[in-house]
Amino acid sequence: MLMYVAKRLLALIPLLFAVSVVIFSILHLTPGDPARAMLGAKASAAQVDALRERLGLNEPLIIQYFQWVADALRGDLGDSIFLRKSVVAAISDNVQPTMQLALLAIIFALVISIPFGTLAARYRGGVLDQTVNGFTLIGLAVPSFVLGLLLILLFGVWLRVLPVSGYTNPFEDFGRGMDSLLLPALALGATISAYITRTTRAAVLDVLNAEYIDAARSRGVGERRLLFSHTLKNAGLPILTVVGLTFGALVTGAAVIETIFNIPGLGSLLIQAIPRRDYAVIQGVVLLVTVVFLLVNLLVDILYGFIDPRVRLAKSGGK
Amino acid sequence: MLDQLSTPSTSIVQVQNEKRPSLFSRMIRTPGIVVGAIGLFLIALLAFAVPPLAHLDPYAVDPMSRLQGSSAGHILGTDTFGRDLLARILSGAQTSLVVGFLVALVSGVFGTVIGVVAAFNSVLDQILMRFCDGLMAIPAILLAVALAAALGPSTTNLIIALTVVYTPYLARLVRSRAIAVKSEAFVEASLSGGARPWHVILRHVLPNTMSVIVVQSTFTFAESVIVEAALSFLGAGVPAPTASWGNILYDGKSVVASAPQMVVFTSLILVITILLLNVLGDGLRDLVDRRAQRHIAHFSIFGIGRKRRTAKKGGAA
Amino acid sequence: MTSSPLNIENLAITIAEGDDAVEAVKSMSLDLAAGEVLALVGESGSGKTITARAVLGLLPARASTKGVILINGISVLEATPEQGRKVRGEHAAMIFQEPSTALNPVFTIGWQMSEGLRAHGISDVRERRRRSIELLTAVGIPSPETRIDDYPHQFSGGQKQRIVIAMALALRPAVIIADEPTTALDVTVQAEILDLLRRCRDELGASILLITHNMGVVADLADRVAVMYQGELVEVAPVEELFASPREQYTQDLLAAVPRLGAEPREARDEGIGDVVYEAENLDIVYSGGFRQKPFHAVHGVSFTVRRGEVFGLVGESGSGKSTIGRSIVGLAPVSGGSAKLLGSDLRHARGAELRELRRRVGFVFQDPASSFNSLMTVGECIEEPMRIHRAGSRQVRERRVNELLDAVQLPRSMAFRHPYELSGGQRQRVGLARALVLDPEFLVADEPTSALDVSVQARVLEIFNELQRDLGFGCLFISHDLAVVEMLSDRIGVLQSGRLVEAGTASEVLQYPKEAYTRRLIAAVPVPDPKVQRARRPPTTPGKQPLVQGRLFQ
Repeated sequence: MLMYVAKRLLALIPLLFAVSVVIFSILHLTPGDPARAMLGAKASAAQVDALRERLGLNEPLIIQYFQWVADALRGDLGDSIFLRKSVVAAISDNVQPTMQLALLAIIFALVISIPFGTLAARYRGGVLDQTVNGFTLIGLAVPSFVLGLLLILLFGVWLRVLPVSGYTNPFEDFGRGMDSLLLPALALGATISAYITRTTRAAVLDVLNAEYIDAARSRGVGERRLLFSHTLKNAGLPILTVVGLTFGALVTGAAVIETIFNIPGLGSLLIQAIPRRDYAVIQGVVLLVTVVFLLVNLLVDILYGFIDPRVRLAKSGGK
Repeated sequence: MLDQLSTPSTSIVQVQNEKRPSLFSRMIRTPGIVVGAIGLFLIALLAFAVPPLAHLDPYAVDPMSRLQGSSAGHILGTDTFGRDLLARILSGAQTSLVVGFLVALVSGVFGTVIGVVAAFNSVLDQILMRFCDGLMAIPAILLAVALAAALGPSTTNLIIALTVVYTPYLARLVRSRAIAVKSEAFVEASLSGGARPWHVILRHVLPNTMSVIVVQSTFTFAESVIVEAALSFLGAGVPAPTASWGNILYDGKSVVASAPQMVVFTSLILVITILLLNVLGDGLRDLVDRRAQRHIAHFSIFGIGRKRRTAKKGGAA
Repeated sequence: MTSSPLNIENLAITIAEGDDAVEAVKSMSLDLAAGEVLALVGESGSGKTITARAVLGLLPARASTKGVILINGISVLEATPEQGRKVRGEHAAMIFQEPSTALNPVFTIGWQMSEGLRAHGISDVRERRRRSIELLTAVGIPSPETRIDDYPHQFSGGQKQRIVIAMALALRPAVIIADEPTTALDVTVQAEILDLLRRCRDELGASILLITHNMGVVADLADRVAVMYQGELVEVAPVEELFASPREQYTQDLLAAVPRLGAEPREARDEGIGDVVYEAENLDIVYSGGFRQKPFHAVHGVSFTVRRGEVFGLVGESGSGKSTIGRSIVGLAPVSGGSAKLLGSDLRHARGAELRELRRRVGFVFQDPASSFNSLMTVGECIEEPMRIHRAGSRQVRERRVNELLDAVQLPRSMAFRHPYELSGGQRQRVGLARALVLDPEFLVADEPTSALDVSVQARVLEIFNELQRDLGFGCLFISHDLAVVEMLSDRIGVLQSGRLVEAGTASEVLQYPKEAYTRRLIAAVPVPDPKVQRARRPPTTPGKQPLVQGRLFQ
């Protein structure tokens, strides 16, 4: 098992290298002069030169890349000129609401999708299955930011029961905090839950059709136990994978949702940086989210090994 | 893999060896394909044919009649600048359909070329796939935002950004499908008869990959429409005053209390379009043979398709 | 009414296929006596497997049943779900064809065994474990105390089948349904499993309904035989009677089609045998293995030759490397050491145009006719593909050649415009033969060409193959796991074991007077499709084996 974790960790290194090249390229392949783009057309040549010097843009590309990687490894993602603070500081100021939002949304999604997906598979073709399928089809077609707007209209404008804007930290004021996060989390969780429900249904259906389920049935194991004890562990593998992969959608979805609900999170930080051409912030946020995304999926890989002995024992075990 | 015997079938039901109906007749018997295709055709017709016929001008500003409700002159009312909302929405539909179609097409073509090259050349495979992995490790919308921000706001740049985002997914898909086809016995038969790689690619791999490419491109179309709207909504997509559903929604958000029609009607057509594309994609996927289906990822927004787990067969035999 | 543990009366099963319904089983009645092994035989699609599953209530939801099935007097089809559940495991149990799919990969075998016991009211965890260990001991799993905590993938195929049998025996059911229990196994393992099943009957008194297509297995194990054809019971008779004097035409045809070891060896001949077309000398084949995987040494120092006009049969169990050798000839496996000369050229050093020219002169017939054709191409296009690859002939020439070959493999010319998936397995394999012969090869490699076919279909394909080989006089490497088939076709035979050629010689030398112990073991393990002969040659249950019933088990 340790070998397995070590191997997964090692496999992350080339991926991180590729990611860093991509993120670095995004800024440096920009047409024109990034310094000029940041300062706007009105800036003088001297100002642009000064900024170029400060950003290290006069060095050869390869040097700039290694400089950037070395800084990033030391935890230095550069400074934001507009925010007048380091990118790391800006991120740490904004990371909490995003994490809370994402966590709430995934809990919401899992609570809905696992039971409904499982039951839809169990009663395949029935009324419940068809209802669930209808909802997932619509759920996949409504982007979370559209749902967010519609929720604002419904709960904030028409029913006037929930706040539609602003953020209160639930750790400081739990009730108001939850109120402020409920609609965004709902909007964010809905699309994801549609996707996880579909995956759960397909995964459970796959396992229910497996011969070993029939074999267990042929030994007299009851239907309920077949579904919950024999099936869910196998079906857990694809579900786990999807949950890990939705993390990316979760955080990026959160970025959009935050702007709608005026929540000061990573998304707002990123979106404000775009018109300002604040490349250091854009780079930093993209890098951070990607690294966290990869780590979440590493965690999924490791959990995978816990569930599936074939993965865990592939090399070390066996006979 | 060695000497694996397949034995006389003891499957429950013997498959009858009857003539399979043609692809077209199977398509028109799949409700999803019919509904999706007709629906999308109607939307395209509305978007491209109605504005010139009805003399709708999405850019005609009328400050005197801002945020009005439905009336004879403006069927869906007007927006914050007094522009006709129907004209804006239909013009936005043009934007969405053009962006979605071009992204699906271009990423489909590039993805196919990259995927096939990677499947047939192990050195290029390593380079191309590492690069694709790097792109795919970054969540799709995030990458699109970063690219669009770097390239600057314009519709063309948005298409380029989205193509960069989606090509790796297509390339991975085509590569894995091509590798699967390559290991099929009929390709082995061809190779063992002395076939050159080109023969295998043109006669076997591409024809057997086309179906999954079409399905995946339909989903890419749907996603591009979503991401285009999201990016425009965030101010990183199609720049004003060009009409785009995302832009209309952004304008509508601030006046959602006084003029809900902007958000409601735009959301409605956006959701219907996505729904139709998804239904079409699902229908097409149902026609694809089951072995190939595994390679298709429904939504790469979720990064699905980024990696595929191959359940390792029990080893200690 | 009756004391037999299993009665089937007027059973009919229909399966919904979209709007259509397929009548899979039409009104069949069958009794299984106590302590009896009843073989239910038939070819693919005859309805034997679905009958077996119906007995245990394991039909898919789209199946509907009529008639009566009684297990120990309990009507299975009318039982409530809870009653049905109690019957399964306690009164009747099933052994599956593919042991690796019948075991859940993510649970230990101990957990899976105890689940069956738990379902029948044994609530004490330690008791369940104790019983499971005893069961594993009984079916011959070594060191069961530790292996009980292993996962299925850590066992070999034969061991997995033993575990599945142990699970079936757990509550000592009166009826055991064995659905092709040895089809997925090698012959030597098959012999062990058949032995184990026999002991289940002899020592536990279980009645066994044995579903199989293999007449050798029937002859070895069954007391009575029921023959099914297209959902109907054709004939039921005691095993010796059925083999000695089958009453129905279908049964006669079925038995006639079964290849028998030692029945009709191809006579040795000298005329027509020409130059050497293929020569392996100390051939080594090593698969480099994927990234970070150990290389796999599939073939070690194998030497043999094949001459024009002669069929060289290569036999061995799975993993023996026989297919690998065949694949190396057409470049689908690497030649890593020694030398392999094909039509005078060294395969290790041939490159480019030379290699392509060699490929043109060699044909290859694949094992699985279902996957060896591109389903987007017509049969005609499949057959002419090698001509297109080598740019041989104009369209008219190719068309003519396709028609010639369809004639040669005795298929109607109109088949050229059909698609491969519209053909039956046997027809497809004939198309495979046509494709391999389209360029008039001097050497043909046939890799298990009939192992996916039913016996009657196999007989037809082999007949056509034999005729064509004699007429066209190509040299042939015929690879098979089936000794009887190899004997029927081959002039000379080589026996492979774990990548090494243990014995080679003329067909009669190898099969009738084998020198090597392994060859003798292999031949002894093949059950002869004749109950009298098979009983005589069956070794008595090895003395010293632990009896199945022992200790506190089954109390």
